[in-house]
Amino acid sequence: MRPIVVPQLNANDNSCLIQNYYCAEGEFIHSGDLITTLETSKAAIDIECEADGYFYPAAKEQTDVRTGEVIAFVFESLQEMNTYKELSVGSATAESTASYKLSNQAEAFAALHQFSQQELSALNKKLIKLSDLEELLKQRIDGDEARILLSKNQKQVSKTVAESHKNIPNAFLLMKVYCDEALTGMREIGEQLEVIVGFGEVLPVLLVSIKDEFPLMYGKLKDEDTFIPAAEVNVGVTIDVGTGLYIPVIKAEHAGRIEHTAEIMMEYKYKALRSSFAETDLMNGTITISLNTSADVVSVIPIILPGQTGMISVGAVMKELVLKEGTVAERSYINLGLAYDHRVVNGFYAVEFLARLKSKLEHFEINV
Amino acid sequence: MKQEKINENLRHAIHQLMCEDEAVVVIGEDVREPYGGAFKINKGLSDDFPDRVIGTPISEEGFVNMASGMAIMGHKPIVDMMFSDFTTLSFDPLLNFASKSVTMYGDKLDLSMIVRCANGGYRGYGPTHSQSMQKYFMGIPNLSVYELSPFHDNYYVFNRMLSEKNPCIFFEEKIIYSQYRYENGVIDELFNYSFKGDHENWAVASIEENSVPDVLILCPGGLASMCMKVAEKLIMADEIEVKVAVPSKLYPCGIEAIIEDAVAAGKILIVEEGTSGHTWGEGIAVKLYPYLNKQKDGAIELLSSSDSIIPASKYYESQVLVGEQDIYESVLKLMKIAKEG
Repeated sequence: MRPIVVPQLNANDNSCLIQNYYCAEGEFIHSGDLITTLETSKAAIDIECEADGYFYPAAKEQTDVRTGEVIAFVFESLQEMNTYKELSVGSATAESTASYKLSNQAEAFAALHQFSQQELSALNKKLIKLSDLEELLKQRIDGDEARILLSKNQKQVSKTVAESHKNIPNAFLLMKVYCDEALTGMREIGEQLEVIVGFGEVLPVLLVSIKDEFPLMYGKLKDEDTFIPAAEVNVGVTIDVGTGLYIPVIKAEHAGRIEHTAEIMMEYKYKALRSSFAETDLMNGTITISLNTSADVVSVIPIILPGQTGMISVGAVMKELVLKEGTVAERSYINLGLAYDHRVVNGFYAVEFLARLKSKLEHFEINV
Repeated sequence: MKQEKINENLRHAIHQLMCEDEAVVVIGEDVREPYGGAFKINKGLSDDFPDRVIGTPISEEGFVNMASGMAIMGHKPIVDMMFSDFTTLSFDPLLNFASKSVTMYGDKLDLSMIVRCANGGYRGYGPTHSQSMQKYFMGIPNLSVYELSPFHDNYYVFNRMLSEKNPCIFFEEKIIYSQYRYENGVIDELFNYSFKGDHENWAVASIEENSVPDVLILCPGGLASMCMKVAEKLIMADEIEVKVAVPSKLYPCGIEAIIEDAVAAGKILIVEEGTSGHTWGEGIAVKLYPYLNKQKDGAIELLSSSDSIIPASKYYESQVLVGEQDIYESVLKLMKIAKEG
């Protein structure tokens, strides 16, 4: 094995650039053959082979080498060359594995979160700091983040809610309604019809009955100047049996009579369970009731559906103590709420409207 | 590629100069074979150049005067001062003869000479063989002060000194003689370096050349490798990134090449081995202040050895001389000052 070294160059340079090799690895070359050209700042120097043998480059093309450094070897046999090659390649790969270093903090963090060598070398940094790994970890978490896609129904709800909040300036009114009489009345009707009768069945009937007194609560605002009263009272009722929020509409021809509303509400509850509403079931509402009668719900503030003026909310039945002719008695009540489009009606009108409903519930006169 | 030791590089540089220029002569105590100088820098030289390596008696004042005279006559003497502590004996010929002669006679005289001084402590050699004498030679007209460094190639540096055509004094930290040089822009796996400024005077070591470090350390070559060790510790243990800038020529010393790095870092630590009081660093700090005083957390910290003679006991010597721990703590202190505003 004969090494070929970089010769003494000149006074200005102690290193130079290797141009390309003129011979290939393993090629048999002869004394006097041109091996490569070295480029200094001032001149190019041709390097010739000094003895016959097999050529093996030790330095990379287009890299700097210093005076005295070995550029290449000439081996007497290929076997000798291969032995050398195995040894030198082995040590080169051992070196290249550590292309980065970790600070002590980063090293502990990397061990904790088990970053792979690939992840670390992909950072392309000579020194990896804690902050680099924190960023890497964040990306890893973001990548693994669980996703829940919204259901088709919820996407529709989302659109409606967003539109309502964007366009309708709502006000909210909350009123206490004493409801022992109504509860008794509803129970009696229910027994009679053999169905469950609650506020969802009763309120549509009441809303129909007071429509002419409060036209501004039934209809929609067309533009800044014009309100279009609804021709008929189609009452939407919120139903959510765990399959998503639906607002089916009890149409005017059924809304006026309790036996019809009870029947239709029963049907709608089944449809909600099976998610099998027809498009027409959900259309053309004039006013809407939001039922939130789970125990202890004080009230909810509903949105106003686009194209309507108000939504009524019904909370859970609560009980309170009251003095009745000097004795303590129990009394039931609900909180009846009204979200209304403040562009159309004001507090006075809304109070009148809700007070009218309150009175209708407190002096319960609905019959089959 | 075989790495070169600093003393080998120095030896080769002098050998090469003597090959190229017959005017170059070596003068000093015990410089001839078989001794080759106290630190073997002249090893083999008198075999190759028997007439141009001049052994002298113990007579610093005498042989520096002689070298100065030879320089005036066109020789280029390289004087070997066995220990830099002995330069006090040659202070008179350097100040009153050599440096003045350059401009004392109406016309400027070419007076190329180099006084090489084995310098510094950390070897337990005691108060008379351990001093860092650089500061006593700064501020003398026509006298340039250089220092050996692991970055700078000595053939290049010696050519530079000879081409100044005025006397130069070259300080060589004894503990780095046997260390390996930094070559081809690489210090280790982490740090690289590049040269900046006229005559590549400043070597600037960094992890990423274009990054803004937390602290810039300035130090002469003697403590450069110590500062590099501290730099590695700071980044690994504390994630504090420093750049280290090392000049070859200490006096006169332009700072233009490192102003950009200094302003970017804002926090500067100047480290040197000499005892405190009227130090090289004070002069550099004064030059840097105008660039830093507008900065919010700009600060300069000076670190020197204690105001003390240097004890012979290794333990007490380590208490007096600047050490790795001192440099480390000074950087932490700068970071703390910056944090607290």
